[in-house]
Amino acid sequence: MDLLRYVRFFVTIAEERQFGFAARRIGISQPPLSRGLQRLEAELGVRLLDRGPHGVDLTDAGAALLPHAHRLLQAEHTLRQAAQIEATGSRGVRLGVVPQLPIAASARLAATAAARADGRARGGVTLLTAPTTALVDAVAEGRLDVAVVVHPAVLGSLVAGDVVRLPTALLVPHPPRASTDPRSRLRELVRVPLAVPPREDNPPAHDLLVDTLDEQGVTAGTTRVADERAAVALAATGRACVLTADPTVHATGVRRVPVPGDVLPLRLRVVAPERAPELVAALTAALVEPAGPR
Amino acid sequence: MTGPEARIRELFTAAGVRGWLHAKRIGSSGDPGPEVALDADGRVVMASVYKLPLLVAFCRAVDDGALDPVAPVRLLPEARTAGPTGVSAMSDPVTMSLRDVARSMVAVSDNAAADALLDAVGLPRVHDALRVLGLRATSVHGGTRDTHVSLVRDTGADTLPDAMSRLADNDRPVDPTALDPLLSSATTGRDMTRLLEAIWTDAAASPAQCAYMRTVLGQQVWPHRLAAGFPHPAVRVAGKTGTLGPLRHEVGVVQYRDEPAVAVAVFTRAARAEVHLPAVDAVIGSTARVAVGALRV
Repeated sequence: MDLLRYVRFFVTIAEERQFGFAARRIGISQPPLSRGLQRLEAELGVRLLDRGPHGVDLTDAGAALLPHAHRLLQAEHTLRQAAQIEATGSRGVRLGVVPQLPIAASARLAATAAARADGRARGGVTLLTAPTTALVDAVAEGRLDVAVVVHPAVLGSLVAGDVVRLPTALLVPHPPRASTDPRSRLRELVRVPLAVPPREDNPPAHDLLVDTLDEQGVTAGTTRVADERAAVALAATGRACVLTADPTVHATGVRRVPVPGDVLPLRLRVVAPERAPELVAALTAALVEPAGPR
Repeated sequence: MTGPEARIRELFTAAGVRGWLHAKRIGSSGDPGPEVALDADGRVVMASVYKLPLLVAFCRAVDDGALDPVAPVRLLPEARTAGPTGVSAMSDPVTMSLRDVARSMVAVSDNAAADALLDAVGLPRVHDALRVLGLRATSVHGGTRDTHVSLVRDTGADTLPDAMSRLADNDRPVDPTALDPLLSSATTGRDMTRLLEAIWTDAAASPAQCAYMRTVLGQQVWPHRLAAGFPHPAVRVAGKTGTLGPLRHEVGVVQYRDEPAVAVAVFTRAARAEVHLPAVDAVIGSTARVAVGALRV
């Protein structure tokens, strides 16, 4: 017999106290509902309900068994939820990253996500590259499982790991004049506008960068570029400086120098829906570059 | 989401904040009336906005004859709560009447005045006022002093200035209970506009005390939040701000000449940790302007 189905009948009738209402809620007519309950009573060997003129009352046995019936349906719900998570997992972990993330770090993150996916490793990891605001929306709406975004960002109700600071370097068009004043070095280096992503990619992080440039006395301003490739092209033609956290980004005709004082780090944060704190911690650890050559 | 709510959401996003907003016309004869609502039932830590229900509780205690509004209060430096304004910022003993203590609490968000008033009024009277006025989503757990103690404890700091500087660090975000709406004094936009409406319709206390509250809220000095959205003489703004770490709020009433007053509550939580974020202060005014504009007749 379909025990779970008939237990659901019992619980619904007990809640509605009317066969008619219960049948409508389940989406069947009254006769099969009534037969289902009789079968359950026969299977369990007790009467569960008294059918009176003003509706239905629980018998003593029915009242005693109702909590057990609730637990059974709750367990079914949990089973289905777990199955859904497994089914999603077989698609792989859906990971989002910002375009500023160094390529080597992307690889470490993907490997970490795949290794932690246990039974899901078959599905591997799918990687989406998008700006912070788009990634936050995608995680919030369930289109991504986890993402690495630039901090600070508005996160709504997502959970976030610790902030990871990646040091950055500047690609500058021409060798700067030698300077003896350590406080003026960034200003000396950035003599053409700094190429930055569009503000709408993440307004608070953009504003923090602009305010930090002001604090450091950089007055060359910023210029908006679509991506790092476009930024490097501008630098190679002498029209912009590039800020990058990726050690592999370089080009002829530009000089690569660490940002003095590391005052313009790439701040990153792993974000996920509330249910994935362990994945967040593991990916946060993977963001930090392992010490020394391997 | 369309209309003013969509525009308000864009403004919050561009300012780098999560935002909550509720606005309603005051005195729309019983029925709910038109409103602008963005997460208006979401609970938000109040910060100094708790001084508004405290003001109401004080006025109700005056109505009951339990407190004398002109009774002098002596505020001694060693016993005063720290803060950047009002008596909190002064060096020497100060004596003033209870009603002026309340005025300093509202007009310049004086922390020392607020805790002195809370000592006089008592937390039970605040809870009583919330219950009588039907503010079910609002809870006040204590004063500014209590918030400062929990901040120092939760950030592992030695002193209050140290705790505040940890709150302002972009590299190490902290999550103290003082910023948790489940554990700290919290409210919703809808509750605060309800409270303002009660003050503006003489329902929060006696007509004389409600008039005093409207005057005091109109004496609030900060021009950078709600008032920044209404920079011309045809409109009056009265309100109470709240600021704590990433939180910047103001709740108040906007009154255009010859039009119904509109109660508006704007709460923000910034992504950035800095103490000074003028764009966030300004978005409180610009979103309120959109909301109030949609409710003008």
